[in-house]
Amino acid sequence: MIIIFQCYGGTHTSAAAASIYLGALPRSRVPRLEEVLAMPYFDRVDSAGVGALNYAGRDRRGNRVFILGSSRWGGPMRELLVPLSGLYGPVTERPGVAVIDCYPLLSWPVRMGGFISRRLGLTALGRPLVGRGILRIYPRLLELVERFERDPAPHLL
Amino acid sequence: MIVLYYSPGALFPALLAAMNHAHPDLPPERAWLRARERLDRHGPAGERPVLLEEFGPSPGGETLYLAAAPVPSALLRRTLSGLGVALTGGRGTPPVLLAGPLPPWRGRWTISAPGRAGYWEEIRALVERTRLQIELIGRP
Repeated sequence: MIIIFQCYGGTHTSAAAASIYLGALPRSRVPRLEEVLAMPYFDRVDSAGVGALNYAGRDRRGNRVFILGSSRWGGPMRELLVPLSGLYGPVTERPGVAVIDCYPLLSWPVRMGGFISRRLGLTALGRPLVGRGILRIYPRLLELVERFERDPAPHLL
Repeated sequence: MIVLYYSPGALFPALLAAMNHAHPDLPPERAWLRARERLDRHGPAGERPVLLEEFGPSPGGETLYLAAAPVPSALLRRTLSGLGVALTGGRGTPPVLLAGPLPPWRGRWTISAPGRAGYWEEIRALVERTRLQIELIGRP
């Protein structure tokens, strides 16, 4: 299975969710800010990179995990990917694709911090703001990941 | 190989391009009319997205598909490119070629509108470029 964590920019909430899923961020506690800031892809993808599938690693079952930013077209992109993935063969002959939508978890601190860092280039100001925003929504991110792990079916294309 | 003509918004540019790819000898007026007839099956142009529709075969043996949705072409291209590699493992010839970007559809032109000729040339150039890409991909 191919697992895709999707959000607006592909560099904050989806990166955090993928890191939780892959074990790079803890599940038994809220991480420290430094741990969040050290995540792969965290606050590093700019607008030119939105849309690219960034490889995050393999889970315990060997499934490949990706991070995707779809800007404000997350819903239409998911709708398109359903039939387009079928062009690569029937589901019995190719890996299944699961897309976990992290966009609903986008909070104002994450949105604002992301804008300050990615759009304005003021990373020293924006990045910690995003990081603290991720910490505030961390329980919800964890719940999203665990909900996917319990039942991946609703996320399959 | 599958060739996907995708236009963000209205389906008409994708239809025109697929029409020229499938029937390269069709005069522009006939191609325009046939594309409009096919478009009418979907209601007023741009009214609803067409997520995927098979257009038919090309003279070169490719299967042509159409799609139209609000997603920008560049965004879809990047995602589809990565997804294709993920699904195929990067092995062999990619089965799907996303042609484009298509020239933006500027409005409801009549067949005699002055801008139509220029737009048609843009479509033809894109189709020719797509054929060259197919040829390059197919070379060992």
